[in-house]
This record gives sequence, C-alpha cells and structure tokens, in this order.
Amino acid sequence: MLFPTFTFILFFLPVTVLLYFLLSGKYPAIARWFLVAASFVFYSWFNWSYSLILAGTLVMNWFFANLLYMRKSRWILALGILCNVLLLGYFKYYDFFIENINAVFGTSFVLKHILLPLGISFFTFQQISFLQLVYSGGLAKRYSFGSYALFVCFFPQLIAGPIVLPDEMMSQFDDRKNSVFNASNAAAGLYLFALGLGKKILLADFFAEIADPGFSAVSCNFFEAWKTVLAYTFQIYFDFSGYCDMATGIGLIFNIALPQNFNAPYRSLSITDFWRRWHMTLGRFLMHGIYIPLGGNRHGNFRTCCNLWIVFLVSGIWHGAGWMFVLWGVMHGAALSLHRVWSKFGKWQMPAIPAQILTFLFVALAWVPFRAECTQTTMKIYRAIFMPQSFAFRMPDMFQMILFGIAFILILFFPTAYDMGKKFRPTWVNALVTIALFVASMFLFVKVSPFIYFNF
Amino acid sequence: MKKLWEILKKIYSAETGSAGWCKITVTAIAGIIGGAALLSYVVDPFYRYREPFFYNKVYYEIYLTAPALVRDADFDLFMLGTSMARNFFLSDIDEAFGCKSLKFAASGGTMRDLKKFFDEAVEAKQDSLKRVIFSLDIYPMNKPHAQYEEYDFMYEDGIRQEYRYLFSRKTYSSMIYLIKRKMRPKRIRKHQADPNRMFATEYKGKPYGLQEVIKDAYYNQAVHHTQTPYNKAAYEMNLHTQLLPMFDKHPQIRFTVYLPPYHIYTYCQSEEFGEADMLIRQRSEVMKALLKRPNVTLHDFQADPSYVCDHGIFSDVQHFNNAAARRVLADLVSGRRQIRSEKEVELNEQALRKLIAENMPQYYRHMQEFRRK
Repeated sequence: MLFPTFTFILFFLPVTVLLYFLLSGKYPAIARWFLVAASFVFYSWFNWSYSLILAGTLVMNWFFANLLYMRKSRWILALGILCNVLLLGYFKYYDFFIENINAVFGTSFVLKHILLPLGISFFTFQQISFLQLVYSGGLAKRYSFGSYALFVCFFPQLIAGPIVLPDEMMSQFDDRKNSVFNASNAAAGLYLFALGLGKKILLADFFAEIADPGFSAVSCNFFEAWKTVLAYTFQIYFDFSGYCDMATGIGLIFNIALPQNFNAPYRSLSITDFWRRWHMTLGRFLMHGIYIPLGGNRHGNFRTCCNLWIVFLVSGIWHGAGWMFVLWGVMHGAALSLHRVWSKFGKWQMPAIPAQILTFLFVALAWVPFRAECTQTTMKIYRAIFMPQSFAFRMPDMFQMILFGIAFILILFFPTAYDMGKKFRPTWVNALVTIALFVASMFLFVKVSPFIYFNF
Repeated sequence: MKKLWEILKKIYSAETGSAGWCKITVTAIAGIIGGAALLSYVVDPFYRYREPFFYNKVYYEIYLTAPALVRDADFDLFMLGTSMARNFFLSDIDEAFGCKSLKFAASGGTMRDLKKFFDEAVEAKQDSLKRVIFSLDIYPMNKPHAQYEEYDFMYEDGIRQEYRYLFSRKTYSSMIYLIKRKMRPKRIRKHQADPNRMFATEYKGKPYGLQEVIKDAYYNQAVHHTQTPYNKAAYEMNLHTQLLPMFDKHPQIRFTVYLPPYHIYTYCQSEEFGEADMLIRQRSEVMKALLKRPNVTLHDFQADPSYVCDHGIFSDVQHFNNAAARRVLADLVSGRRQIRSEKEVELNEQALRKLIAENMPQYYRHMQEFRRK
C-alpha cells in the first residue's frame, strides 16, 4: 500500500489508528499485535507472498536472538547474520550475480527474475543490528516477541525506512504513556504527513515528469542534460524525504518518534557533511555496522580512506543490484577520501558558498549513474555535460521554471519538515496549510508514482 | 501599517488547542473530499453512472466517454477508426447502409485503443451488432502503447476504479469545461454537441486546400525527429494480437475495412524520410491477411488519385472533409475500389509507388516555397 492513496488515507490509516487506541488503553499487548497484523496487511497489499518472507525472517531472527540470549557465541551471531545476508543476496542479487557470471565466463545459467520483496534491505539491516546488539549486550532490556515483531514490521517505516535501532523503537512500544491517544502528537503527525505528501505529490512527481524523458531520450544537449540532472536531484530528495516525513508523521500519530533521516542535505558544505545529513539512519547503520568494526579512522589515513571506500561500495550495492550503483558508491567513496585528505593536509579552506555549490554539483552529478539504468545513459548525460556537442537552449516552460524556483527556495532557505514538525503549534495557519496540501495532493493521487526508495 | 502587521501576526499565531486542531483539520479534509466526490458523482462528466440529466450530452474525450457511449447508444452498425473517420456523419452512414450507426473516431488512437473500443461495443451490444466499418490506418499499427490505459478506471469496475474516477483531475477539468459551456452556450463546438456529427471537426469556414496541406507537411517535417513512425515489433504485435483476432473471434459480424485516403504528400513525406517503402509493404501485408478472412470486405482508397491528389478535400496531410467521407461511403456501398485478390493488392502497391514518384518533385518544390515564405 502506498501512503499517497485513497485506500491508505481514507480507510487504512483512520481505521488502524482508531482500533489501535481503542485497544491500547486496556489491552496494550493485544494492541501491539493488532499493529503487527495491520502492518502485515499494509505489506501484503503489494503482494501477499511478501508477507511470508517477512514472517519467516521475523521468526528466524527471533530464534537466533534467543540462542544468543542463552549463549553469547560469535558463531551463532555469524550464522544469524549470514542467514540474513544470504536471504537478501538471493532475493536481491541472485540475477545480478548470475548475469555477471554468464558475461565473464560465457556460461548460460538461467536467470530467475525473482520479484524483489519490498523493503527487504531495510528490514534485513534492522534485524542484523538487533542480533548484533543482543550479542554485545547493548540492549537496555530483554524485549517481548510482540515488541520485536513491531520493531521490524511497524508499517510507517517498514518499506523504506528510516532504519531504526531496536532500543529506540522497542522502548517506545513498551512505554505505557504511548498507548494513550495524544492530541498534540496527532496534530504534529498530521501536519508532518501533509508536508511529506506535498513534497511527494506536488514536487517529486512533477520533477519525475521532467527527469524521466531526459534519461530515456536518445540524445540530449548541454542544457537538457543539466535540466535532467537537476530535476532528478530534486526528485529524489523530495521523494525520499517526503516519504520519511510521512512515515515520521504517522509514527507520531501512534506516539512513536522515528529518527530524523534528512537534515537539509543540499545545504551541505562538504561531501562528509552531506552524508551526515542525507539518509542519516543508513549512515548511522553503516558507521556502526561496517565502518567502526573495520577500524574507522583509528589506523591512519590510508586505512581510513580504504574503510570509507568499502562502506560506500556496500552502500552502493545495498541500493541496488547493478554496476551503476557500484559506480555511484565508488564516486562517493572517492569524494569522501579526497575530502578527508584535503581537510587533513590542505592549507586552504574553501569559503562556504563555493563549498556548498561544489558539493551540490558533485552530488547532483553522482545521481546520474544512480538513476540511469545502464552505462550508455550515464555516458549520454555526462558527455552532454562535459563534452557538449550542442548548446541549443530552449526556454523551459513557465511551470517548470516555477517548479525549479520553488525547489531551490525550499532547499536553501526553508527549515526542514522535521524541524517544522518539532516546532509545530496548532495554529489556524498550520491547519490551513495541512488542509491545502491534503486537498491539492488528493487530486493528483490518480497518477501517483511509487517512491524511488521502494526499489531498494 | 504597524497595526495591520500586529493583526497578521495575531492571526498567524492564533492557536486552537491540539484536540480542536485535529478535529477541525480532519473534518475539513473529510468534508472537502466528500464534497468533491459528491460533486463528481452528480455531474458525472463522462456519464459513468447515468446519462446526463441537467445538461446536454457532449461528444468529447473519447477515451473517457467510450464505455458510456456504447452502453447508452442504440446501434447495430459500428464505425471505428482514428481521426481519419471523424468527418463521417451518422445520418450519412445510416442512409448508405440502412442501419442504425454509432461512430468512434479516436484522434491519435492506436490499434490497441481501437481494439478496446471494438471489444466494448461487442460487449455492450452482444448479438445485435451486425456490421462494423473499420477505417484502417497503417501508422497506428506501429504504435505499441494504448491511450485508453491512462483512463483505465473508466473501463473497469470496483471501488478503486470508482474513486479514481471521482477524484481524477480529468473529471474536475471536464466539469469546469461543462460549466463554461453551460454559461456560454454560443461557444459550443458543434461537433461536440451534435449527436449526428459526433467527434467531427467539420465546421463552417474551416480551411481546406493545398496551402493547409503544405503547412501541415511543413510542421510534420519539423517534429519528425520526435516520432517513431516505423516500429516492427509493435506492428507485428498489433497485427497478430489486436487486428486479426477482431475478425477471427467474431465470424457473425460483417466487417467493411477500408484504407482511408491520405493526401499523397503523406506518402511523399514518408518517402523523404525513407519510411515509405516499409509502410507500403506493411499496407500490402495487412491487406493480404485481411483477404483471407471471409467476413471482411476490403477497400483501398490510398492509391486512388481522385481522392489523394484532390487538394480541396484535405484540411491537412491526412484528414478529409465530409464531402469526401460521403464519397467514401458511396464507394463502400457500390464496391468501388474493393480489393478482391492478392493480385489487386500488388497492383495497388505499384499504383501508389507510381503516384509517390510522380508527386515527389512537386512536393519538394512546395516545401521549399513554403520554407522561403
């Protein structure tokens, strides 16, 4: 089920909220299981067989967690992680792996064209982090299976994050205070949801209409290539941060605070800064799950740079089974290493505005392989930008210019939706904004496109 | 000024309390959504629920109104085609064939669109549909997509489709259009209001003739690089899964299929772009396949100089006027230009190639002159 659909907004969300709070006052454990069941309904809406995989991984990881509770064995942890990685590998990377084997060795192994279960990368990462914490004794207490199941399945963050940590979620599920309807949380949640809805429907989907033809065109000139790149840069930001705002908003309605995932990333002054602001929960997971175990920055500059490269290779592959994602990861790994060397040995610090522009341009250009499905498309765009054959300029239409203008203003000068949600006051103006965004988005639901991060 | 600023600040920061805020916001959203749904249901601009009861039926947006039009109309002859079929009037068809007709002329329609319309008509009329006149374009045979799919909610039932209709942007823009028409009835477009003309674009004073043809050819030349006139995979798909099954699955229906006359400059232009040969081959292949169907009568007007070289009947390189449409009807009834054998297909192919070759110098000259202007 998608958030910006009538099914979700008119039926699923109100019914779930109503029944949850009717139950949670007297029967919190039943209410928790009700929310798990609702999350399964939400997940099965795409394809019912997905829910079997989700249920299977839940039971499997709970089994490993219990083994770890009984005996803190490195082998049990390794086996648990391996099972998760193999499952992810099978569903997400099997065809990619076989394709490459066939290409390199000339073999003809049959591709399985496996349908990728939605959000598998997200819930796999969450469950791996749970096993790690059980093993290291890092959890505040021993949680029930109900809390664990809800931590993995909680529908606002099930499909595309934010990637949450066990303690930060399960402690909230267990808190009795959160089982009572809280009007100020609900109001802030509704407001955040409307902001996210507006970002997705009124901005991201329109940018998609500019970006998609640019990527699929046979050829493009210098200006068209830039228009395409910028449109996708805005599309992916508004799409993903819009989704996260909606997820955070729904979480708040249930009195659950989800972690911040975006903090005005296009205002970053360096690529390191960018990764502190973009998909922050993935960065947090990769830092704790890979970068620090590899040694982090404790073994000299060369090892640090190598670790950064490894982290971003994993990040690239995590995003999708394709060489273009690897290229995207390599570009970011290289840029982060370069920035590290520069900030360590460089004697000159770039002023803020050029640094911000340079970071933005790099990030925008790095989105090209991320979006392009193949090398040809990537090269087409890069060639048009760096070795242009034609500078034929066609004025974009008024609507597109307004759209780009609004996006720049929102990205550069507006507070983030997360901050707006935190500072939310139940004013008439905020009510009008919420109503206007809901209603304006409502008329565009018919053509709504899936979130970009659903693919990952 | 300061006072105004104070007032604005007060309004901006006026609070209602969280519970009240939630109630007001949710009620307002629910009210607007409910109101919008009710409005869509009552106005029903594409006649999904009923025939219009407080405004006259408008023949527009064929991809949206098609299911309702076939459902509500009484007909036993169905004329189907792209925009090439638009200037036929129903009274002329009725008179020529002695039937009660309904005409669907889908501008920019692809073969999949036409097949869908045909299926809708068959489903709506079951056994009472006796005859189909099919205006068969070659260009749409090369298009893989279907335009109706954008509005597939009009062709399906179910709660999801209902709300897709009730909240479609198209539904609301059409409601505004209907209100405008109601307020300024003098500006009603005749082809949309007149059930006899139904989708026709013929109106008093519409320009026809060579200048219009050249102007259109010049425009086509400018946008040609954005189009894909020849697509083998789409052609094969359309021929075998869309076109031929129509005839094979309904042996009880008599099909009169004709290749509509394009102005000869259409093919001259294809020749200029190096596509004419492929299109002519497709034409012949389709005709040969149709000859094998016993329930099909086939006519070809594309190699008939009395049509394709008559500048006066065309408003652009392809669309002809009602007078020409009446001539086509008369020819369909009399059997003129009927194709009965593969030999005749080949003769027509040769005739068309000859016509193109003869007209190419004149075509180039006209285009050059227009460019200079």
